[in-house]
Amino acid sequence: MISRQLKLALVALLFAGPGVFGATPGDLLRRAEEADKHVDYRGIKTVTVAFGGENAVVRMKVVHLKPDRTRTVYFAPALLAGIIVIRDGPDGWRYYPKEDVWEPIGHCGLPCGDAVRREALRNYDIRLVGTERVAGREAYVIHALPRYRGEAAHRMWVDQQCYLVIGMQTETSSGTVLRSSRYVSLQIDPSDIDASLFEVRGKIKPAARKASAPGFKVMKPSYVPDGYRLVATASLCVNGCACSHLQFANGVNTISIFQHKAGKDAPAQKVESKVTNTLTWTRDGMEFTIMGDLPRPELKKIADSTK
Amino acid sequence: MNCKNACNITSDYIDGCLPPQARCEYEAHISQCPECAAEHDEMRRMLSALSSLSVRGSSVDCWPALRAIIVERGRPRPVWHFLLRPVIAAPAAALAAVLTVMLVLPAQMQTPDMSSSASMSEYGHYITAHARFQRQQAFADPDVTFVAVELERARVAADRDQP
Repeated sequence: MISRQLKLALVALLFAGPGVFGATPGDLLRRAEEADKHVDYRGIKTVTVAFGGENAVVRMKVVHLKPDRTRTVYFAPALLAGIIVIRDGPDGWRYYPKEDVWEPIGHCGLPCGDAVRREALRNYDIRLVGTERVAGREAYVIHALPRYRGEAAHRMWVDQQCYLVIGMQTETSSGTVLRSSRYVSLQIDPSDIDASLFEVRGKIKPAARKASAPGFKVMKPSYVPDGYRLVATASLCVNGCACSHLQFANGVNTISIFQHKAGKDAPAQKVESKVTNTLTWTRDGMEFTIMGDLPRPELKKIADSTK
Repeated sequence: MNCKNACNITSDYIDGCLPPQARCEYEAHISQCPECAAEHDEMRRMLSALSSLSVRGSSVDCWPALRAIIVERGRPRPVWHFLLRPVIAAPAAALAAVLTVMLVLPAQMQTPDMSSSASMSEYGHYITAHARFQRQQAFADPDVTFVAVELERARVAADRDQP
């Protein structure tokens, strides 16, 4: 009799799917994206990033005032201690204690939106896999498994009450964690957040020169991995030179291709990325750099097809 | 003499090629062994029938054509005939192809030399722009991308300050 009841419960659970938790993964993603608009919060967060073969653990305090003001103060490691980032709507500033100066960081990037979410749902198998306790709060656990090989998987913890994202993790297909973030303590809707925390006071660096049109024919790749599409083209001003930025995305991951006219000077000092895969090459008088969390052979394939 | 030995020398006996001793032994054997005697008779009949066939000449005179071929092969050849021999021509063609790939194609195709590094002065701009773009995707935590970029900037700055 018990076993029959158990079977019935399992069947009901299978048919109900994510509905047992009250929302589909798509709904949860949308609510999580919009949560900042509806809640104030204050918490301590740790971020772990694979950096040059080691894991860098960064600790910070985050204060948010709805709908779109956030102040983040970095405590550790010493390399970042004292840095403050203030985001106010689409604008952002970063404070460097060493220089005692605020630097505008420009547009902070819009939340992902319906189109990006649809793209993510198309290219990833996104499932609600259960619930867990994070920072003393019950959270839904959402897992995004890539539908195409070579892509990383993602995990997200969403607060069950206010839908705030309280944890995030990116991992390889073999389960190695590349990056993660998680609140270790969190207060929702505290009544004592002072609005003056989000004001930028002190010396401010002049904004970077606005980029003009590149003035050259932008070369595009004829190959991008499955699921990716060109979503935007932007212009940057890099060392006074116009630079084109091609942006490809699959709803979760991104590939950037930068290109500008190659200089005739001696080769500049080079730096190798430790946080994402990067390739740089010159062709037909242009210098290209490609960045993305993809295996290097894939980046090379894209690079080879950029003509 | 046994049957096997007798069988082996039947043809020689009929041809009259056996020494007297072997001939006597063979005759003694076939007088006592009906099977070997029957084989001997069969062989003799077959050879007699073959020898009765008349010899016919060919209706076509092949000699002039054969002679022309012999004369042609015997004549000395120019150098290019030697070079066209497959043993020489095949490696030569392969060598030519390799030289073409090594000398001509690079100039036309300009195969890019790819490295995993970007110019230090540009890298800061690139990683910031890439991170800003990444933040607009699903499953992106702005703090994670910001931390990654800040760690990179700090490292690059430290590298730059080093003598």
